[in-house]
Amino acid sequence: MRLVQGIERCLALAEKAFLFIANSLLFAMLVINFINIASRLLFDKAIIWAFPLTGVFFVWVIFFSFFVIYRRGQDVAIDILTRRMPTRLRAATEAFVAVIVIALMVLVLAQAPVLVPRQVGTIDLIGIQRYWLAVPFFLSCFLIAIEFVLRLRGSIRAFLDIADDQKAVS
Amino acid sequence: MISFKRGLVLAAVALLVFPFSSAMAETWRMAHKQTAESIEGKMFQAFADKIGEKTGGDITVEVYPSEQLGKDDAILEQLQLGTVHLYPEGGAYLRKWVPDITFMSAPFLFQDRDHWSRFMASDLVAGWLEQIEAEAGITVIGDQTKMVRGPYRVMVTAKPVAGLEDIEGLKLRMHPNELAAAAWRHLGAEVRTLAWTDVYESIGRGIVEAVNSPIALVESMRFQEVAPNIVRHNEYPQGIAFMANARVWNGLDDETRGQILEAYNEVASEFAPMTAAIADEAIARMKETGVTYQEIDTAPIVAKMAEFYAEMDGKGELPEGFVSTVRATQVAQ
Repeated sequence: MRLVQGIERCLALAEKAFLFIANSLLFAMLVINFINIASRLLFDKAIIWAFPLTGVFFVWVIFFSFFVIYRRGQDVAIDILTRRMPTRLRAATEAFVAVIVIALMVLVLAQAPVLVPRQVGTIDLIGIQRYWLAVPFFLSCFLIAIEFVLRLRGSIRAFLDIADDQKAVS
Repeated sequence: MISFKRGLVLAAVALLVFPFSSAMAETWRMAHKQTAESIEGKMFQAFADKIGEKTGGDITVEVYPSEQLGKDDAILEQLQLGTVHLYPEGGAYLRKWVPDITFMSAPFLFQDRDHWSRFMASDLVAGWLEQIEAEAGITVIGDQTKMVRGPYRVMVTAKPVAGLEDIEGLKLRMHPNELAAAAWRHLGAEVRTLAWTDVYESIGRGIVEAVNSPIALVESMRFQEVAPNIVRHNEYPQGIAFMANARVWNGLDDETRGQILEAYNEVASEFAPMTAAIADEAIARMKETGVTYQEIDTAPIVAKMAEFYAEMDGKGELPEGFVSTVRATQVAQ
């Protein structure tokens, strides 16, 4: 129980950190582009790295937000059927969905050792290796997998508790 | 004596075990980013058809145009994995494995296409390509200088550019490439990085005044509508590298490789004059709408760029053996 609470605290911390990073990157994109436009307008000089850096930050914003969105349940979910299901069946469905998500994340993470070495080459005008673009994505996938392990545990417990209640009533 | 039944079993086993012997047909996938109707799209299809013809149907090539199988990086990964067999594009895309290969497109360095061809046939370039094959498992088949792209590079500008003096302060769109950006800044241009698809709108709004492009793409991008001056400057010669999965290519027997290279050379010879003719037709059409076209004297630009390369060489920023190879291939002219 203590382990679960510890993991939950870590995930909550990661959520806050990732949200802060994503917002900071978004703000940085706005500032860089504002300065670039102002510089072009006032001094007739452009910042040459503004465009490629914006591209990198944009990718990172999406990948850092990936975990936050799933953690907060702000992803697109169709629950019109599950909401009408009996509580026990709903718990079973949620457990099934969690297993699928975990399997998918494990599949993605298993590909990381193959994909990362292929994403070589310095990004021009930025100077970082291309694989850095994908690092936040793999981090998010790892955290989503952990998040859904906890959800799976919750769904199984809910399923079993309902079964016990039903037995007690009968 | 082998019984009829046993014979049948042996035949079935043989079919199961050796279903794809070298004598049997193979299907290759060629991915590219051009439309099927463009001159390059037609050239790639012609090469695919010719491979089938020359190998007597042993190899059939399916062509996937318009980035149907993904963009550059995705296709290069598929090429490494062997799910895509051929990818015709600019050789500079291979710089992610060997950054020095960027210098194949060094601006205003090569005297002409022949000089560039000799440079590309040098041991230095062969070494770069060998390194890519070892690191990435991708090889370049044929002589990429024969597959003409462009066929030459121009600058499309909102205001007339007659020579080096007009480049000073010119707001020029550039792709994110350090060498190209540094070179044009050395020539005095105010370089601005923008996406290729944003150029039309950006010229219209005055964010940039000019863009460099292969002549073949000017009309299709409609740049001349917002920048009615086309200046041929021959920034650097361009060819198309047919990148192939090295394992598949090296796994072919000599005869099949020879047949494919024969197909390559025939298609290259057939399409080089067609590419030039199409460019001439496009220029004639654009001129009718009031567009000006001129070929500028690039000697002052080349002289100024010589200072740039000397400076880079002094700082040790050029690849080892680059300057000597450029000079050696120049002398041979």
